[in-house]
Amino acid sequence: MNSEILFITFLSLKISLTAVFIASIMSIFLASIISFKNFYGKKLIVNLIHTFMGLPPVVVGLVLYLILSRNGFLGGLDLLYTPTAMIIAQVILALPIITGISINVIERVEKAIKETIISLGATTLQGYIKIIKEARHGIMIAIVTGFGRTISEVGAIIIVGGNIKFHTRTLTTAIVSETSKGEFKFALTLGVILILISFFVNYALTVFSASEEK
Amino acid sequence: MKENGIEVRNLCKNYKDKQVLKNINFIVEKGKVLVIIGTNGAGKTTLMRILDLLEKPTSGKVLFEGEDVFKLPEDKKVEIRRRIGVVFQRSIVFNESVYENIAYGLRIRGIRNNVEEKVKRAADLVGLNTRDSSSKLSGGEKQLLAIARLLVIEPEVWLFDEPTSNLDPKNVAVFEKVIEKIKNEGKTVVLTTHNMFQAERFAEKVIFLFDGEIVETGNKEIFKFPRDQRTKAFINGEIG
Repeated sequence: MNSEILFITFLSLKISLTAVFIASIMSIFLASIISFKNFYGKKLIVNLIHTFMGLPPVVVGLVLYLILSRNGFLGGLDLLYTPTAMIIAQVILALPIITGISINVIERVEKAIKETIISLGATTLQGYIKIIKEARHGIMIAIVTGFGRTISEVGAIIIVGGNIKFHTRTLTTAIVSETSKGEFKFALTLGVILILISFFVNYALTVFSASEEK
Repeated sequence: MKENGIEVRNLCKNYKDKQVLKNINFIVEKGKVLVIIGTNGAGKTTLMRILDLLEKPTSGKVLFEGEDVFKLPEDKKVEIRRRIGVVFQRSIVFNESVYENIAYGLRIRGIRNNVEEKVKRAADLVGLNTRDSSSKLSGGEKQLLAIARLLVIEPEVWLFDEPTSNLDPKNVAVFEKVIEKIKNEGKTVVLTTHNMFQAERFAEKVIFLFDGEIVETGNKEIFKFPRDQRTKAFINGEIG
């Protein structure tokens, strides 16, 4: 039982952290382009990102399942029922959340700060980097929100992961299966672990913010 | 012949239908101090923003060492901005330590040598502790940080837009000491101020701006013997 809990916990963390890491890099890049550049269709793209922030996980899981299944577009990669498929699903779910919030915080950096950066002689690229740095607290919140989405998500990963014991079973998928079997004690234990992980991630963010203020 | 630092030719600036600067012409020679005095809303800040290349004029030119700055490509503008430093009435500081704020100008210029020493020297000049967080600083200290951020990069041209109007006497004294130092180092300075004592103390050339127009230009004598009635009224505190 203990080794299974450990496996489930580490797999959950590994999948969610990897997905959030990939989604964060992609999101900061995307949010920067969208925030700093003016182009045709920008408003539409921002609206679409905001819409996708509420993507139903089961729909993501279903579409990804069809793409990754044997007859699907990427069926040849043999990724279905693997942790990689679960990471892909979580990246898709976290990406619009982190991008959407990041666009908002980057665009909210005061005009006066942007002018100060320009005035000090920054090149365009140096200016962008500095603005992102100024928006870092908001971006951190975006990343933590994305992590919250991925660690607690079940609909997509249960479809593409299959909830296979010691292979693709995570905290959330295990809670679902254990509850359906009537193993409430085990399910509750996993639930407590899930809440503790969320708590520690938020606590780490608070410590990070406080250390920046000193 | 004296070398021109900044030359402004026939400069106009409109915001929609409102003309805030009307046919402005002046020259600041290299190493000289130009003081711009004027009523509230006369266009001083707009003029300073244009001199710092933050805004484009509607018409007219700004020549920096003879080059029309608004016709230059972006990379050349960056080069010119790096030679100009500006301190506005309300300075913006970055949300990080005093050290990081001051070091930023060096970093973006690719300066890696003696950064710590240079930052410390600039902070000491204005009495700031490099380890403090900028979020803990008062408004006056933020102004001092803004000046330290420029001291470290030693711009050739300094623009001060009413830099001491929100400062207490102690910080005004620190600020004025720095302006004195910059002046003695032969830097070009453009200063706008409402403080007539300060204006008279630093001015080598004076411009009186009223309702977007230069109504009088001269030297320090302007404070004692203004020719225009509006200048006289302003200096005497009758209009503001």
